[in-house]
Amino acid sequence: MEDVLASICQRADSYKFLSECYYLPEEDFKQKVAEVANSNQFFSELEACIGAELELETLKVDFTQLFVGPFKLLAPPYGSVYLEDGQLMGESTIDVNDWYEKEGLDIVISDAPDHIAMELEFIYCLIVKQLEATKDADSETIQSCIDKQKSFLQTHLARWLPAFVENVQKHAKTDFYKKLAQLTGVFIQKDMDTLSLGA
Amino acid sequence: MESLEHKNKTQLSEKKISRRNLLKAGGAGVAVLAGATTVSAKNKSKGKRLAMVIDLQHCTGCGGCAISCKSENNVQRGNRWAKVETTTVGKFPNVGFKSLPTLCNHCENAPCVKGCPTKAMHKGYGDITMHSPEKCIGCRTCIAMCPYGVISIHIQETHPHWRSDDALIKGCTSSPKEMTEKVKGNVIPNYNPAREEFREGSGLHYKGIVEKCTLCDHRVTKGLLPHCVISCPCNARIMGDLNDPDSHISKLLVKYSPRRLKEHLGTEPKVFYVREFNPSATKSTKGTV
Amino acid sequence: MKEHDNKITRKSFLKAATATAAVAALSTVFQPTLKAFAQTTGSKPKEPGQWKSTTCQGCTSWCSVQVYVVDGRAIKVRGNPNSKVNRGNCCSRCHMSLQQVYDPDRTKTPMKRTNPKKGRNEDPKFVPITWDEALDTIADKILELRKNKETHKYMLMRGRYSYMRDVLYDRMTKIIGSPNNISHSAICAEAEKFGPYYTEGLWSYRQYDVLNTRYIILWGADPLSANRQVSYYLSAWGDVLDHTQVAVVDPRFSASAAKAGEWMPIKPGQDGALAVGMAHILLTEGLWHKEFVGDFNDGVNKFIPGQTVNEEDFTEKYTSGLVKWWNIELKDKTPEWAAEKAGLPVKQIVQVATDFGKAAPRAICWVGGGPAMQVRGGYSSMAAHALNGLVGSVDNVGGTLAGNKEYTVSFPKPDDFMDDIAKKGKKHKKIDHRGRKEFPALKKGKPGSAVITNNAAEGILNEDPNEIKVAIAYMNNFTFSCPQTERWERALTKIPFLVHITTNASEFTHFADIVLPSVHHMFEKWGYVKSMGNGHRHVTLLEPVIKPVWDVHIDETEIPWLLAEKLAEKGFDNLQRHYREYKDPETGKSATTEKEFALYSLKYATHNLWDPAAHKGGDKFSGWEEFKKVGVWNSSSYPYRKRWGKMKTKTHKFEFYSETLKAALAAHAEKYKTTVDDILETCNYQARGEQAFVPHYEEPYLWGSEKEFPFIHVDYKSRLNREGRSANCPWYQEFKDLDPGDVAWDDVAKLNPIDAKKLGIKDGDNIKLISKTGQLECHAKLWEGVRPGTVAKCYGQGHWAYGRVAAKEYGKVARGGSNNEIIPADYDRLSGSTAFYAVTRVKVVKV
Repeated sequence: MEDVLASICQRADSYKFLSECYYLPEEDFKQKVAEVANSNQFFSELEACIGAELELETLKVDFTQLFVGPFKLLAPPYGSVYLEDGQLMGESTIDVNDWYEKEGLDIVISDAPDHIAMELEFIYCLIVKQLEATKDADSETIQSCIDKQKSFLQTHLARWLPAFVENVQKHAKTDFYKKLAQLTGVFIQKDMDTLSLGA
Repeated sequence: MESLEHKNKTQLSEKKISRRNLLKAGGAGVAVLAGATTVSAKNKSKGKRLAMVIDLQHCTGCGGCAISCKSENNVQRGNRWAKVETTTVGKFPNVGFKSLPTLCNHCENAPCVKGCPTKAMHKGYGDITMHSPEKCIGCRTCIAMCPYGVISIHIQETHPHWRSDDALIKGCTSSPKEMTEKVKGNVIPNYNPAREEFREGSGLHYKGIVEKCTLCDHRVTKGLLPHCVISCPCNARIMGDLNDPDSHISKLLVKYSPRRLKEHLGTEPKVFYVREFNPSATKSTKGTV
Repeated sequence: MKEHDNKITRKSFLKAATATAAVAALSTVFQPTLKAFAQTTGSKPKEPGQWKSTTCQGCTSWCSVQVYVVDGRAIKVRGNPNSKVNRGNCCSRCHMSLQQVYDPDRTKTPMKRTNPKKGRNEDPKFVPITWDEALDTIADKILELRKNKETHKYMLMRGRYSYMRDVLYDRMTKIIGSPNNISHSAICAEAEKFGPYYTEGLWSYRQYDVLNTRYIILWGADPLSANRQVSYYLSAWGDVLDHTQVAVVDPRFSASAAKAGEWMPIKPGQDGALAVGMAHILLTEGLWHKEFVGDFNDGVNKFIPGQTVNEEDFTEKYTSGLVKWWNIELKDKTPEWAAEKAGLPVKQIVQVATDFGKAAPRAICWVGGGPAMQVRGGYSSMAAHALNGLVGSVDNVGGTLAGNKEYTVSFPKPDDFMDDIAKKGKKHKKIDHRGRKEFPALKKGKPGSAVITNNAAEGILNEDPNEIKVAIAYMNNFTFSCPQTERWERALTKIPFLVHITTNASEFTHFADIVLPSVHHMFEKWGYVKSMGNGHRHVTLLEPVIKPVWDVHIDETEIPWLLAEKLAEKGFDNLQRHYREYKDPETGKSATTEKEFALYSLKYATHNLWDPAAHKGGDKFSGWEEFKKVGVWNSSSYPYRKRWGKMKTKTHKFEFYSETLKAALAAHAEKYKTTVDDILETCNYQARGEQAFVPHYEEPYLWGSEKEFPFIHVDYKSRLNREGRSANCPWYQEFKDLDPGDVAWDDVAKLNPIDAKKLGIKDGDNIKLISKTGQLECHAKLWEGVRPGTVAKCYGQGHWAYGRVAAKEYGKVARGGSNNEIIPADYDRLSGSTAFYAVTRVKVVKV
């Protein structure tokens, strides 16, 4: 039981971490990243990318140019752009929003529902529910949570992530975001495989 | 994201939205939708094709559609996104008077989209002809291309009458500016925030860009009917998806012989008219020569 | 899936993850709480904000509506889906309420006049004052009257009311001690009630069972534009047209005519002729409805043109006086005769009457204000309504119906709080002269019981029966809404102390000494009104759905309470003690503040509707809170034919020969020790003898000779008029062309092109309409939907005050021309109603 819980926790934490990384970096960002990189093998390569010589300002500028604008977004972080030929607020976006509503989640920030940070945090929410169910030994709910994670990844995040990753790697100026994107892609792929194997 | 959270906290009424501001904004309050990489191609095969059937037998020419649209979309004085065109025919006492409600036809072959140089006019959710305010440069090509006259432009600051400070009876009656500020509206007191929350710059629009009916995309994308449809007290406006053969409008379009405005131009409008404004029976007769 | 509270907090996350150390590092770095989401338990509403229930009083349809409120602001409106009358629909005028409540020209504070001179061209020079100062002054003025024992010189003028009206209009006036509570009803459509009362005992407006009918004749009524229950009829009409033929009797082509099968462009004032002509046809063709009316004993139709009939040959069932009617009035009123009078083709009259008769009993004669609000209109109202009796559609499926029973109650009686001064004062005669020989005002059969609003101006001017020293008026504007307006300007100038409770500074306000800012009835007021349609009656609540924009108080409840407080402070506490009788049914408590009073009095009056313990019928609620939320109570469905044989007439039947009217006229004649014929002559009717008691034709009475004033003025109401109050709404002006023939941002008089050509007038020309009593200036519009020989011009514009949009230059230059400047002050004296139609002859001159 303990091992099971631990591995679920780690998945949850990873998703949460990834999600946080796609917000505009704040003062303590570098420090937090360093901590995570130190304690989680998978993210260890990030440590090298956030050395002391890297200014926070530089990170912020890179983040903005990639994901915010104001002109052309170099790497739009929205699912519908990749799934619907460059469209924003498309039908896939509506579908993502429906997913959130079904889980009783209200969006409290001002952005499109299929922003990568949100989709990642959504998986995180599902995993936490899975965690609760595991503690309660509620096998029906556990299975349902796993099915939902799989389904959501298959129909949304995992579908557009490769193209997104490619964009970031092509346009990012800092190693951090390049590496982050790469790791995000690998992580999701691995996670999909794990879910498919029914673990 | 921090920049967007900041925007959330800002009072809408404090923000002076001008096109220049929007472009300059950089991180602060920039529309989520600024700078999509490519324009979406028309999605005819997948997704919905939203259309409207107007049943003229139900229509009474009351104008509920036209007036309520102004309230939903904060449309300024002088502009109408929805209209009621009227014609008087005949000579006394054989007179006829017909009302024809019109709106943007959300054409499948939209000339305004074809003509727009910045792709501000584009086809969006449900094949609605949408307008992105932040991309518009006010060139008016769309207005020139549209055969239906449903697009308007803001030559000056929007809602000029509401920005004035003068009171009828000083100290005793209010003024447009004071009224707006007191009730915390945005330029107009009964300002509807739902538009702005959905797409920045579409709540009030600003000087130098065009505007038109967007089939209440801020409602439709949430599964709600456009405001004109709900407000029509005669149930004369029916919305539906042309791609859904079970939808009510698909059935209406089979049952009646629908007409569309200026069909011969090939714009493929998605507003269909059925039945007659005055359906009264005529006496059975073979006539005379 | 099992549902459980999924609140994801740091605590719950850690709780879930206890028993493992591996959790520690990662979960302490970033908050486990959500960043982008918040967990909800209920279903998320698709729109932020809230729909709140209230009532629209844009016209007297009185629809139950809802307002969408976001952060305390009203954003948009819709019909209340809970009403069985308007069924979730609201007409186009409802949306303009948003521009009214947020009208920048609203009065925001009490004001007082500093220029003692009054007149249209005198600037009142209003300055703001506090409520306290205003109420103090008013209380002093009232007490001064009491001191001098001349309380009958107090007057209350009532305009737009709710059924909280008696608090201010009736109780306060009585307790102060005056007979002079003057309502506006006579400038509404009171004469429309005259016909139904003296035939079927119903002094009321009607509802029509349109979804079940087969033929409708609209007499000077335009239900797709104006009163009553516009929202319901708009929603039903599309379906109605599937199975119903519609004929419209109206000198101008209305919105309803645009969707009708027959337009009968009648010569103004000849409705009575057409009606009796149709009655003649129904009888000669044997088309009366046997089940309701009865038949000849041998089944042979003896109604032959020109021939009298023996009364014994016919046995009536639920009606009375049919044969008398035929003999006295109908036998000679042939289609040819009617056609000549009405200016309509014989063929059309015969066709319509025949088709109407063949559709019996599902055939409706829908009598509007048009035929009724004329100088001799009571009888046209009676004649057109009597046709319903002939086809048996009265109270029947597909016919003309009354209002369903409802269970609101009146307020506590004032008698115990009227001291001797008050009792004496009240005994004086009223300022509007109702009940005088020349003003029978026979409401519900009782002489002198209907108001004669427009004549109050004469009373004031002539100090007859006495002068008026102190007047309070609320939500009215008689200096715009009453014919021969300049009389009111003079009358108001004469009143030394005038208080106006209003939302906008209107023409009436221009003459006021103190102005009190009123709530907007739809957004800021507690009250209730009733309406009917779709076979139901609803009682709908007016609710404050936003915080009042300005320092306003509710006209009908809060202001009288505050005045009562002031009066009590100054030693006269009868009014306050009386208001304390209005106890909250839930707690039994009396009000202690004006806000409580507004609420308690409403709960008191509507008690039987919302209290399950007091339930008497119709919708049931769990209590006041639920009723408030839903916003409307619906009656049970219509009990067809319940009144057959039980009508409130003298014979209990539908009277073609009105014993009821006979008795009422006799009572009035008796009062003046004279004959009914003398009364009729005094009151300017042509009927004499028996003819006065049956529906009959009276020639229209118009002011001005045909030679000098060749055109007849046709007034009508707009689908955008919120009574007279929407002219300051930009949307009103922008969409004015929704009225057939009218023009946006303009006020046009419509002429038939043939007439216009003769006068050399083109579209857009500046013209003057000049009548015997006044003139107005506006633009001309040539339009085919106008009967030659008439000028059709809509009511509602011509404001020189009210606001920056309504007036061209506030206080100075009007936008358009006010119809009441040319209409003379005349009346249908039997009902007391003001004459608006078929009363004004004009000449049209190019300016």
